Amino acid sequence: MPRAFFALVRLSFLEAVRRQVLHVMVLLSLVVIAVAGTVSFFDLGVQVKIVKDTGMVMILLAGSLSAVFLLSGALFHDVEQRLLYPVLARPIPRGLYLVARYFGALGAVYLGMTLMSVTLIALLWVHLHYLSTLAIVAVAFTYLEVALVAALTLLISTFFTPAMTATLTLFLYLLGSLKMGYLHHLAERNSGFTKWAITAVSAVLPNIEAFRFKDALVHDLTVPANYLILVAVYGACYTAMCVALSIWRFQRREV
Amino acid sequence: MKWLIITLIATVALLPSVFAEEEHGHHHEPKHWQNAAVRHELLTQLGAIGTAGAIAGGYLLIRRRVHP
Repeated sequence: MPRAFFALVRLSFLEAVRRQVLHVMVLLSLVVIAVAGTVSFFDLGVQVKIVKDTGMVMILLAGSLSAVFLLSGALFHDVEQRLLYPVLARPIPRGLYLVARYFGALGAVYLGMTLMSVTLIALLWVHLHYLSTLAIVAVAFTYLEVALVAALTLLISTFFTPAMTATLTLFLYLLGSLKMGYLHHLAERNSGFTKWAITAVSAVLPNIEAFRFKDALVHDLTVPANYLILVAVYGACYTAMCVALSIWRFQRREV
Repeated sequence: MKWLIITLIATVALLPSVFAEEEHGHHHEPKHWQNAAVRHELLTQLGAIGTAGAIAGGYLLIRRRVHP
């Protein structure tokens, strides 16, 4: 079984790595990070802040969008092109296939993100002459955020078409980012059914904002270690829940 | 198609709020790692996920024993 799993992960990874959307995202982000790090209009302090800010935004943006675009159509494409049947004809559980699809695509996204992260950390090293630990922590949590977004995309893709999956995931991603600052205030300002509905939506949505430590990196702020552990456990559990729900749904789906 | 358009419009409508929130967050609100409400919410969701996982795991275990 592990052999079949790794073969499927490898196939999914190779398919994802060949997709043009990933190449464009990674190249575009690398150019933006490199330009922000090399073209100097400001003094060193401001320049370093711009490199950190731009770098983190580009890694997050490219990683999240690549994950959404790679995974939103993966399952639909396999069913439509009938690529799924020869795999399921073998003694491979559907869940294993889905998890392999997830890890393969995520591996390809992580490869691109690693290129961007290495560029960002190298540029920071050039400017600061030391390795920023906070930069590594902030980048690591961006990886976790992308894993969560990818799992959410996988879950939604077991219900809808690729276009609907991509749009709905981005919508939920935005809502998750606005959860604490916007949805909670919105719930407080309303009453009755509207308040109940907003609170219910807010309770289910992932807290995406919790994974972002860009401000701490840019302004050199300290983040408590116990909070980092809490967010890491939260991210891992939420991602695992989304993958488990995807497996549950995919096992019952007619293909 | 209808639902796709509705979701697209809702997403575009949300974008200004995201940017407004970013600006707002920079000036007035405490950072999320300083906010006790965020910590409380993360713990609540973790508890809910753990409970749901335990219930689902228990159900699967019982089902496997009843129908081996």
